[in-house]
Amino acid sequence: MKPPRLPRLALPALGAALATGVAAGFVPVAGTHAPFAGSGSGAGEVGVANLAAPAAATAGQDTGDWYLDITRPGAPVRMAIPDFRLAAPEASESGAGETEAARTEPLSEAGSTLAEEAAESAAVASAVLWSDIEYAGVYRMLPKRFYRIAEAGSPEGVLDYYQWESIGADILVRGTLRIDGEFLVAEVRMHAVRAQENVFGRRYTAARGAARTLAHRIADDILLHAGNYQGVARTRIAFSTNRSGPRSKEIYLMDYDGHGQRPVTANGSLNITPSWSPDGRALSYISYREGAPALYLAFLYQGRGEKLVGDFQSFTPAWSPDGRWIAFTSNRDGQSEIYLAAVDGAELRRLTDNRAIDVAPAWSPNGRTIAFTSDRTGAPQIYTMDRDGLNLRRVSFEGSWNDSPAWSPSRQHSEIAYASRIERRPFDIVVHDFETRQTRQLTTGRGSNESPSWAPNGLHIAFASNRAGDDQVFTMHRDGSNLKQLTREGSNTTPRWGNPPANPR
Amino acid sequence: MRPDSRLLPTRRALPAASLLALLACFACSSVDRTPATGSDVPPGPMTPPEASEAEGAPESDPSPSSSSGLTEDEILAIPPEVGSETDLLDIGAKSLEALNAEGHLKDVQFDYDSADLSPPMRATLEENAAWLSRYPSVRILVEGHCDERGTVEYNLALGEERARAVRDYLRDLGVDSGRMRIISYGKEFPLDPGHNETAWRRNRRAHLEIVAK
Repeated sequence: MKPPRLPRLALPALGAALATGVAAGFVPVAGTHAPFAGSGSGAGEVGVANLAAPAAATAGQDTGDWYLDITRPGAPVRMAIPDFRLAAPEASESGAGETEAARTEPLSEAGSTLAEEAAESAAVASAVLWSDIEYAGVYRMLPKRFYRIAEAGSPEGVLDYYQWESIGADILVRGTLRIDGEFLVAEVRMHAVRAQENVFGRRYTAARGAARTLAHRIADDILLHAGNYQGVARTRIAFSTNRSGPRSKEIYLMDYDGHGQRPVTANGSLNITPSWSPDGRALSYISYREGAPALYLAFLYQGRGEKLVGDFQSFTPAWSPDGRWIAFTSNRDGQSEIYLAAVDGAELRRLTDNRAIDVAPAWSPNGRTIAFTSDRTGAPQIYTMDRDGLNLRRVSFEGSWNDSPAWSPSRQHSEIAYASRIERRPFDIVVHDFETRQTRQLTTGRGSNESPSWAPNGLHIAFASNRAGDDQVFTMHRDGSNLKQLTREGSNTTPRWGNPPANPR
Repeated sequence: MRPDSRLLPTRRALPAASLLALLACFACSSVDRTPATGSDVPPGPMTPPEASEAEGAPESDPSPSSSSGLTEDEILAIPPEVGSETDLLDIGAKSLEALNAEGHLKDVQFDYDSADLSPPMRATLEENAAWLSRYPSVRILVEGHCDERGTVEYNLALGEERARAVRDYLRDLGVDSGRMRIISYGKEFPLDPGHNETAWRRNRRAHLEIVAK
């Protein structure tokens, strides 16, 4: 096996991004991230390589295509994830044929501070991996206090499947962490306990200080290979916040768990209603920086921004799933109508035509249908239309004010979330299922709950709520459970949940 | 131009509310004795916003920026020869901030989820139109705002509709549409940060901002 591809430090590009970013009023997020990994691994910011199978494991089962299948109907699958063990470079858990141990850093006087840093990184990575897996809500997490029992009977680092089975573990995920030069290197193996198989083994490489990023990547891999589950650990949420000034709002980003809240815009104007590009590398949003609300694009990793539609007033952009179009609202023809503009600015098409308000377009996952809000019957209600404006259908019939439609990206569920008000009560998030034609309510009258946005896997929803005072961003499971508050500073609105950033082509 | 010719509006009959307001017009905050430079001011009803003093408007005290040196009593003592040159503000001498702070153009309130102009709001806009007709160089930005109870997205369009309703009515009253731009702030910039009916009522509004003079 070849050594893992190491992340490239693209410093000149970063410098250029910073320069152009400032000029354009953007703060490039690339500067706050770990460096990008080399292309081709699909790894984003973390380098990934498969580990060779241990001698005892069945050959050929640790490739990236193997999915663990534990089917015990009725019983929750129990997962044990001990904290990362610190590995000295030469003591790494390396299988046959690996040359990784050769790239070491001698333990010298700097060794103690290095050891401290490694211990801190391991603690962060352990906590993040745990909470990422737990967030998915598909495994029962075995409490760590049981692990000593399982590990007591066997020497350090040696795996005794029977011990783990005795404490009830179905899946065991163990990892080591070390600092190697400028990088954090983690080696992670997943074991099917009763089958006594090592079903997954990978080495992850990230920049020092990027333990969270590293753990997020590992978590998504574990979830994918343990249960073919699309995790959200590497996704981000964009939102609009007034935390930087009373008469301004800026677009910010954060990780799905609320960490790393960082500005995308910094122009002191009103910047609102962000929408992600499907590749997670760009945002469209509305800015008043030149007076009238205009439609802007922000290419986060190039630190580049541009105005796409500047005439008249534009509102509520929505980037199409194929990445080629922005649907938005404009008054260019005298009243609020839905338009499409190509991302390259080449075309402009009008989709609605009536005297009522038409606003807040939202794409179906296949890009053929657009949901939107219209008050053509006298009150705001949710409608859908084909992407050419034809085939109008009304979706919402209950409630006096329905707005902010968000179409689930899930392949399993054909449903749409929106904010719904009965009479003049506060808004609640509801989900309409197109197949059953049923609408279920996810929040129940605690504050006003607005602007739902689906996680890329269709299993979680971010929304804004003023239940704790100012508007803040929360996430919940699609059944309304597992509520988490992500923001606390200032007022934070219109969250939009994006895909993990794809590698640049 | 004869001063008293300004008593007669050219485009349409004055609403009764405006006629009543004329009687109180000399509570005008910033009486300036210097002759107005613009002798080409078109005729129009002279109803400064402060005319609604009788309704308890708070802006009725004389502005400290008045250069006349007159006390309030002296100002009130001036016979209401509407149309005399001294009625006109020297808007060229004031900053835009000062002009806007003096409240010559009054906000218009709306009902919940509505961009309809109620009769009292039409009267307010008629006063605003009268003021604008006296200062034809003034350009305004009509801002549409909403209260916090609506949703962010729809409110952006609703604020736009409110601003448009105001602009269209001012245009019907004779204000050249080239002098007006509209913008919606949705519920992003509430005037009153409160979370009660009073705040909501204040925030469902169109605000007329002077952006050029």
